[in-house]
Amino acid sequence: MALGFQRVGDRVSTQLEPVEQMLITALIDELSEILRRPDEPDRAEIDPLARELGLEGLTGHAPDPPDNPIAARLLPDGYRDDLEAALEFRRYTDDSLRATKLADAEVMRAGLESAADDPEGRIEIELAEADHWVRAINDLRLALGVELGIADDPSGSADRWVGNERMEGRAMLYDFLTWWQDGLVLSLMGE
Amino acid sequence: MTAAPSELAEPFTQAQAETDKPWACIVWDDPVNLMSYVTYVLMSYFHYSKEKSQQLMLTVHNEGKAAVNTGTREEMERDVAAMHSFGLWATMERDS
Repeated sequence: MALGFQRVGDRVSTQLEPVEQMLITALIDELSEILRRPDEPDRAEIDPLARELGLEGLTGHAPDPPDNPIAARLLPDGYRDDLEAALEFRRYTDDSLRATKLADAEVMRAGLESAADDPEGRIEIELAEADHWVRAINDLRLALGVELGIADDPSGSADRWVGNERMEGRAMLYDFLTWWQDGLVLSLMGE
Repeated sequence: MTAAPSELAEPFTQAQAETDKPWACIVWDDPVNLMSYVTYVLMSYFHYSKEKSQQLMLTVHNEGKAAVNTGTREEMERDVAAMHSFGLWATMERDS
């Protein structure tokens, strides 16, 4: 059984069982796949100077809102009731938002790998890295929430999926990550 | 010190009025984000006190949404993008 988070100086530490490390890592990989832009624009078409300055968004095509419901929840519109402004917002933010989420996922993945190398499954998170972790865990919960229908129905969890082995597993993972994230956040807030 | 002649003063145009109008970053309630997490995000990103962050979080929870910051359009776009990186469901609108 995993342990909660303990604050020690400028870091928080916890432990995970190998099976927990494995399941969460698999989930991170799944989500990263979804977050990589499916129709990577032809980079050659982008003005090299704009690319160098990190301004691809200014010259690239405005990306459409994602079809995948998980990507749609993780990369939402910045405006309600103004389609044009929402598309313009997406054009400027889509690249960096995807990059931030993928980088967060990578930090968490590396942390889980270090747990796999430790005989006690210990994970240490420096406070400077904490935001990467809380965001990455939250993205996993949001993704599972979409899959489990929690986004539409707050009451729905494991008991809705009895007999569906895959979804029961997802619901358990969701509950685990909820407990884990709450523990991490409370320990970061000094509670 | 003298006052600038009034005929040289820049006329206050409608366009300027539009740009100066403050915008708001709105966070919407959703069933997945934890109350503790929303509080943490507001503390971490906006550097609000725990009390203010909890109050805003409760407004989101009880009323379905809350304006968590106001400012220029550009500033609010930055805040909304940051809220999206934290997975909060945020949009921007003109502050009313």
